[in-house]
Amino acid sequence: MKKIIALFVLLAAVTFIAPFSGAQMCDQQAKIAGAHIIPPYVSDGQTYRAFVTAGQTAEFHATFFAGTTYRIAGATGEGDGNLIYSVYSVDPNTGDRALIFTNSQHNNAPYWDFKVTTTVEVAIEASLNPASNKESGCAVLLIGFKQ
Amino acid sequence: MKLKLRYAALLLSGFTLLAACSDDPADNGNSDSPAKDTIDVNNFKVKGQSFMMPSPMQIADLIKKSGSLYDKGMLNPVNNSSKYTEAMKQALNLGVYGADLGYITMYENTPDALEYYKTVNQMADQLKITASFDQALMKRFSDNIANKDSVMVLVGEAYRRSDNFLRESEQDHLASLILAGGWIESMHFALGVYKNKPNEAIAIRIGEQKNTSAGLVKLLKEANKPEYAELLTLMEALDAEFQKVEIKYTFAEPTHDEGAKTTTINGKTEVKITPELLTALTEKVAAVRNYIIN
Repeated sequence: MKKIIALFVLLAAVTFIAPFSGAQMCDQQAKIAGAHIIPPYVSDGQTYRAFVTAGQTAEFHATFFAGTTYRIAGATGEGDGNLIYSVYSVDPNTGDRALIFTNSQHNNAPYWDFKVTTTVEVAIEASLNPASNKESGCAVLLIGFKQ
Repeated sequence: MKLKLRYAALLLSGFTLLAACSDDPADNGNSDSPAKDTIDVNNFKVKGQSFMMPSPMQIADLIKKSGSLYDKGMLNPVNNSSKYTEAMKQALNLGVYGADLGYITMYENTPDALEYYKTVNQMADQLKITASFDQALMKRFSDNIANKDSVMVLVGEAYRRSDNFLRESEQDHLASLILAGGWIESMHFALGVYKNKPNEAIAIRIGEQKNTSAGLVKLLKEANKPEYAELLTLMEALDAEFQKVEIKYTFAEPTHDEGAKTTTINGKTEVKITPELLTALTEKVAAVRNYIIN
């Protein structure tokens, strides 16, 4: 009987606590990434985030407009350099993708700037740094544009 | 004890799997999906904004650069704010007033900026996201009101904090409405300026919103709220017009500057948008905006 009660308590705890713990764990990562969106960059007013496990990739879509310089800042875990992100151009008619940038080729840079000479649809993929040996985490990306 | 922990681990794994398997059927068979193990962020408990909405301030900047004069008549009057008693309209109009504030900031109109900032603050209070527009931020805003660049940073930061707060508190649907309101107001500005003084740069920038329009409709659909039905119908009618815009993109290799931590995105995009289509978009945007602000 005690085992059944314990199981019910555990079930209730997981049901009610898990959704909140999942959401709140992104706040710290938003702060870490936010530290890189500083003047002259202005936040676009949004927080892009997803819960990812090792080996999975979260995907975000954006339009980068010609004549603008954007900054992408990403974070997962408790510090910089734990998030791998890649930016692809996407052909709006065929969906074909071409790699524009990946921070894995630039020391896992926590932020990077993009000068946009022509308006382009982009897909941004984010995943955990395999070297961090993390099982899962909240991936946060922030985007700012230069004034 | 070990056994009990094992039960707990199994139970947790079960819930994790259940959460991971709760796919939205609407996304099944998406031909754009890469073959690898990819997450659609909206299918997860930790939801996110899966596509980026252009900041209203970017559109306002383009409008100012076009040489268009400040026109307060384009804004949603602040006295309309008392009409919005439901969360849906409050969120939509928080987006609208934010875009208005962005427009005012570009033109450095201090009295109007203060008036609209107070209204934005009031709308945020009604939505219980005042923490994002707290007293400290209000003071910084007042202290820097004459400095356009500082105000832009503060407004961007306040909206990001609101967005984050709403997603942390599992109110993604309200965050989406704020984005929708802001975008519609931006389109209202851009199309209004084009109507008064046709300008190719603005026409192209309007046409480039094709993907944003489609993404916004998807976002509102995913919210799955019966009370959004009328808004969604109007947005779908607008999106049907946006999908007539022709966009051709040609890729070119980017260039990287390691020292400056900068990549230059090259290539070429051609946008075809006719005056007739711009007229149709003007009508559809007006219909959505009238629904939002009235």
